[in-house]
Amino acid sequence: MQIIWQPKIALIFFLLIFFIIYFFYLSGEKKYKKDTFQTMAYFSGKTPSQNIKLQNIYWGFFEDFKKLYMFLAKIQKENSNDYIFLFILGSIIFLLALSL
Amino acid sequence: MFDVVLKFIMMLIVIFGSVFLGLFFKGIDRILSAKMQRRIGPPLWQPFYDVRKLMIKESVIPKGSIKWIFELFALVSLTASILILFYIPILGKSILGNSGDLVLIIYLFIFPGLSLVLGAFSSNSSYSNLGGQRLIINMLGYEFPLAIICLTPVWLVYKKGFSNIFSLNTIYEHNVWGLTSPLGIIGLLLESIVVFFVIAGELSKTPFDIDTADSEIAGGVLAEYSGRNLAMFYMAEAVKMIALASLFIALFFPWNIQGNFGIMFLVYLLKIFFIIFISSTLIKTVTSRFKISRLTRFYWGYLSLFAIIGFLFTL
Amino acid sequence: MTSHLIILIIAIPLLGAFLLPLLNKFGKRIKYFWLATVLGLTDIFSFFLYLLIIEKGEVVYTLGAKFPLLVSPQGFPIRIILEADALSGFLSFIFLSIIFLIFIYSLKILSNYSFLDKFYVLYLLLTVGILGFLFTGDFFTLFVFYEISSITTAGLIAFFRSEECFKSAFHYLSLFAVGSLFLLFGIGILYSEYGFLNMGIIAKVLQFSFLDKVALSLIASSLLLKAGVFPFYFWKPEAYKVSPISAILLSIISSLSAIYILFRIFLGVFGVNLIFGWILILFSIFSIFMGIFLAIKENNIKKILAYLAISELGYIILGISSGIVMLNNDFGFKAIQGGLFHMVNDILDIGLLFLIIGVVIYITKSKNVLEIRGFGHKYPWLAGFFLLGVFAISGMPPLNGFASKIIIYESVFHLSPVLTIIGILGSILILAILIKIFAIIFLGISPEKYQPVPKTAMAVIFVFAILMISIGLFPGQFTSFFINPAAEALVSQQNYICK
Repeated sequence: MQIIWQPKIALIFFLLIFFIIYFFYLSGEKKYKKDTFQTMAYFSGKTPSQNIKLQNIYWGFFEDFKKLYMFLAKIQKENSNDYIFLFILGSIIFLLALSL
Repeated sequence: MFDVVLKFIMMLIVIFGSVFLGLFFKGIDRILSAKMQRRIGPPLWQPFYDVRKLMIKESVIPKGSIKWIFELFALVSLTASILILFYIPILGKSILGNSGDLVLIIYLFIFPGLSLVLGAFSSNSSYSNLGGQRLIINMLGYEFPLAIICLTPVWLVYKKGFSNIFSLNTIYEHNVWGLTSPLGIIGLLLESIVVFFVIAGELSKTPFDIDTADSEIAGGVLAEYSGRNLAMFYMAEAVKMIALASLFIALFFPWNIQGNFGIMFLVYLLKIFFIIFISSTLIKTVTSRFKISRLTRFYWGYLSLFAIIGFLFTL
Repeated sequence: MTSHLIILIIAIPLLGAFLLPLLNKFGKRIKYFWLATVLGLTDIFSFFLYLLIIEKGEVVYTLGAKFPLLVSPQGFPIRIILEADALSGFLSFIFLSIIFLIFIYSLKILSNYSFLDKFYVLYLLLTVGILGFLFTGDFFTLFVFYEISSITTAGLIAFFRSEECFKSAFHYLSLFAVGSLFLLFGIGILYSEYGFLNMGIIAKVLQFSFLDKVALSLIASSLLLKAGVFPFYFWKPEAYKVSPISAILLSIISSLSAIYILFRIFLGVFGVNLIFGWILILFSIFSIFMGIFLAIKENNIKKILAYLAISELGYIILGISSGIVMLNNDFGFKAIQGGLFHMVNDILDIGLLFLIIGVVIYITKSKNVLEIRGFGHKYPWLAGFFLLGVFAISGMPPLNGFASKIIIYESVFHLSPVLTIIGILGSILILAILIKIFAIIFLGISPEKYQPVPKTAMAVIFVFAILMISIGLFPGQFTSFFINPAAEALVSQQNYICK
């Protein structure tokens, strides 16, 4: 079987399309009033700090998988005995599966 | 030499044609959904007026953002959407169909959404951050059903023993409805229903428009975009509509009337209209928005379940 | 001279490691010069070795005799045997070049810490361990080098000498004590059955009895422990969290060489066994998913990248073991090619990400990288390269990650389409995780001013990126020149036994 993938052609066409669109893009309005009220981020109400935190951005994803995570977090405690136990367990699984 | 010139002209036709068709169908979509909601709706050419208006307004770049990322990804979004069309066989022939296959197209479809996300994160505004993270969750959601429904025709072609199973030309030639048992046809029908929902999800239409929720987060991903950058994203969304519809026409609805080129193109446009009507207009008008914590469950739970059942029927 | 290349490649870093502390009194420049010479010579020699292999086929080198079967006066055909074929020659060349580049990178990045000479001794010794994995031809040598790499890695983990480092190093050492015991046990079983330690001879006389299966599972478990895939990945996150970046990259390279020797033993000595292949496929799928799921919740960036390294190793093992299961038709060979190709791409992509994070840590001197914002304002090049690395590792076209992943997807599809779907999903999730990291570190507003990026580090990052892009743009040539002979060498058991 042959893998159909020619990256050079893809890159060439991408750049061609990019430049055609870029020429159209340049016909737009470039200037804007810098450092005025317009460039500040839009907040309705009191302005909090300008530095946004992004740590918890997968909240929605977690809510759906909460139970799975609780189960996984229990295994991951940092206990040396647990690790060795799991290692031996893994080898035994290997052995059992091979001897079938 | 003539070959290269021909390819270049076809490239230009596809670029301008896709943008034109995309904005045109967007206008149809807006009028129809307005009529379904007993409104009058905008004129048919409204999206063209929108693009022109956006191009002559100032494009404000927010203060804390990195300018080259902010502007670059607007351009990349539109470029990638158009590039996808080069790999899909339209009316049987594609420009670059011999150098890219289905897996490439699945990956290329990530690019427009990814550009939106990166543009949103680089806008340095709380609203766009929220919009960006919701868009990532949306993308994670629809990739699972999308992978299943894209790989089903590949599996069917593989079972029959053809070579080059991932190439879209092969799938387009062998009509996928004729390759299975009757049980498989039921499975393919199930998957066609899933197709419409996945298209709605990819285009971020209600009920999946969690990222551009106007009333909740003031525009979401595109909150800080204006002017020509916004025009780029606007057109990218329009072209993505055409690209998605073309992909699923090539995969699932490849019939056509034998005739001259004009009639075949007209049937193709009718098929695009049909797909966009159901997935964009119809679903948008009758549903309301999903909550973010329910969204993944819908995608990975119910929708994927239907897709998997459909796939299992074709085995 | 050329006939002794293979032993020189192992001996030079070994000698260099032992001579390094003696150069202490000559000052820093002499020591760095010595290190550069040692690593550079090894690299050049491995290149010549690879050319030699392409010309003449395999190279088998016996310590102390001309042929492996020459018996000693007591009549035992036991020797230390080193063996290099297209696959190990190719891997050794790539790995040694990367090790050299990482050394240049760590010249400036680690320059603020003390005990550097001990670090470099351990660095060279770990290089020796990696080379031993790649070139070993009998089981006892394998065991010796397993021990060498375990102990040196433990030392490298504890380099920063904080309490957490010691705890991680202790976990690592205790786990690998059990691991090497298992390895010794497995080798002992094989020796007591057949009386030989030579891989080629055991391959000839092997009957696949129950004891052999026990031995195979013990050896495989200990090698998979070194590789760090499911279910033996527990040491990886906490070890990578506390080690210096150069040590992390070397540990990834040693994981890859452990995978290599695992498949060499499996295919070359034990022959094709479908059940073993399927077990490995199952483990690899779980590696991919466990890596991703655990990485989403983490807040320490080195831990996140460690989990992603586990996922990528899962892809490699998925490719190669699916290839083994499907070996009777054309797709199996393609899958093995994909897996081997992904080995190279993996070390380049993850390497690039780790290198950039190392630069960020060096510049900001912060403990928690995810507290930094707005790094991309002043360092657009770093932001651009990081974005490139993010795209490469999640397999976006047209970079090298996509080139190897598309081979894996398309060939694994013939085994089961479920595997392809899992692969695609895994890529998307990896992309999501890394976009979050990119946005946290490089976007936003930066409140402070930092120093410029050290030039050696930037040069190494640039070389990595160029390699990534060029392999991405020329996958066909790269595959046919490097990977095809390597895959053939892995698959053909006959060649292996003949010598």
